[in-house]
Amino acid sequence: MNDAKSHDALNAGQTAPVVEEYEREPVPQKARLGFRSFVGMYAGEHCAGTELMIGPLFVAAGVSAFDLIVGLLIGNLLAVASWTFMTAPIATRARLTLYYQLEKICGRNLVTLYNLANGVMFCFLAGAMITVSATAAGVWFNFPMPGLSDLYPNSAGWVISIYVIGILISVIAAYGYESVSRFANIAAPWMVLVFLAFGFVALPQLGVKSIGEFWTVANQNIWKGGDPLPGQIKFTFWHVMFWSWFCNMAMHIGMSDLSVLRYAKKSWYGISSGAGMFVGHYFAWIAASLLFALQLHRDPSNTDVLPGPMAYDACGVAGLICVIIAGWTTANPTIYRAGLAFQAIMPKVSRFKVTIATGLLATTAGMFPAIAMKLLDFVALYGLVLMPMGAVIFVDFWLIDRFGLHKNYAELSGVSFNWAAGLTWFLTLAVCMGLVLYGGIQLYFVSLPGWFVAAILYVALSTVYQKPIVQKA
Amino acid sequence: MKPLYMLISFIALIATVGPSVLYCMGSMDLNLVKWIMLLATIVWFIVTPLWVEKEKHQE
Repeated sequence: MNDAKSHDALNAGQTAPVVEEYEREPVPQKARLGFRSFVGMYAGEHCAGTELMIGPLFVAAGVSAFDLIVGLLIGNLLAVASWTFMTAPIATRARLTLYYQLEKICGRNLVTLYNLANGVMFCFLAGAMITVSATAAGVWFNFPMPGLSDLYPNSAGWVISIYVIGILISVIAAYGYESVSRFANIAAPWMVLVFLAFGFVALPQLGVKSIGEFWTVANQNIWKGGDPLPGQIKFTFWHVMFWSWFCNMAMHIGMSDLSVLRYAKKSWYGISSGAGMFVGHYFAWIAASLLFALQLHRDPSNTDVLPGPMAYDACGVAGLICVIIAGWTTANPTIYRAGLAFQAIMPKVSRFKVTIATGLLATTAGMFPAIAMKLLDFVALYGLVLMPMGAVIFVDFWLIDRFGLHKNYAELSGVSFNWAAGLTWFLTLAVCMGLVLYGGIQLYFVSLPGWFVAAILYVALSTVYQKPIVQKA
Repeated sequence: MKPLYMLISFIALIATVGPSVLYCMGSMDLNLVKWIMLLATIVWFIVTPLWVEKEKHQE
């Protein structure tokens, strides 16, 4: 569930290129990659520390067996379709990074603002990953850890643990980013199998003795439906479907993965995202949710969503190592990428200092369990915030010249802030948040109408904003 | 040596998930599952870098 990790895998991967290359030019023929590179990258990328929070939070949201199994299936298929039919066709035609594509359309200053938003979101996401890792430390040092409804840190041990882990991750991100990314690539296949083992270990303890009993036990003991746990929003089929479709919205509909898929030889390689969706966002979420269901099955009063204790209980020290590595290997590139986004705003400050400062910000965010415990809401918000710019890219690439308007207006006109794109972003977010706050529509559902609002706004505002451009001979 | 390292890595992966499958089928004790998984984890992280890094250098 992590964009940064994809770049990371591409950087260090055995099968993929260095993504920083060809920053301001199309990827040439010789640098293009085959289908397998993308399958490996997506499968590793979407098996992250946060999966260990998301699975349990579905159970806490009172989801039923049918709603989870079928909702995830359809939601993930829609996500794969979004990568295949929206992101990949643009990526393999333009072959530019997201940032360069955006700069051509929006101008440098608006891209800087986008970087800031992206950097802040990455910080919070990294904070949640540090939180996940710290729950493993809690098993070893036995300090009180936050509960499902806790918003603030609840013990000195928790704060110390978060800061030790956070500072360690930040320093490594600032110094040894490449070695960690190599380690992450080595860990990925092992981690996927440990996630699977979580599921296999939990099933018999939940009462599944044969395959034939699975569906009955799933409805009675695992995903029982009914009321959510206190403080959680009830999840139905539609919640699961839309959430799993949009949890990576920033990457597919938001077009972040233009930077990744520009290396694909063919547009249809977008379906390789299915490896990530069905390994990480299907089996890993289901396995992680089984761990929490098992905890509730044994003690219904224990509603704490703490991946460390749950993994240790299921698979012992190997499970605990999995939690630490899953949190660490994903927090590390996320902090690095957030640092890069911030450094673009302050180019004179060294990358080392910016990464350390970013890491400290993420660590402070991770200290507050509210982010990890409300991860379903945060991830939905993350996708929503970056989605309008994806709509701008889509409309600019495919549609805008059909209205007699210019593509890549900032590049053609020399403006550093394309107000048509900027206002599209701000107004779309205002409309979506208005729908959430005053229209009674939940956050998980506003992104779909929001995309159409952004698309229409961009065309309408460009009609007013764009001036005729005299082409130089 | 590389094929041998690769074989050991492969066996470590099987040993990571295999015991949990056996436990699910009622053929293995949970404590034994945990110990085998830990051993497999150690082997995987010691052996795999030996051939993955070599492969990378060759590329």
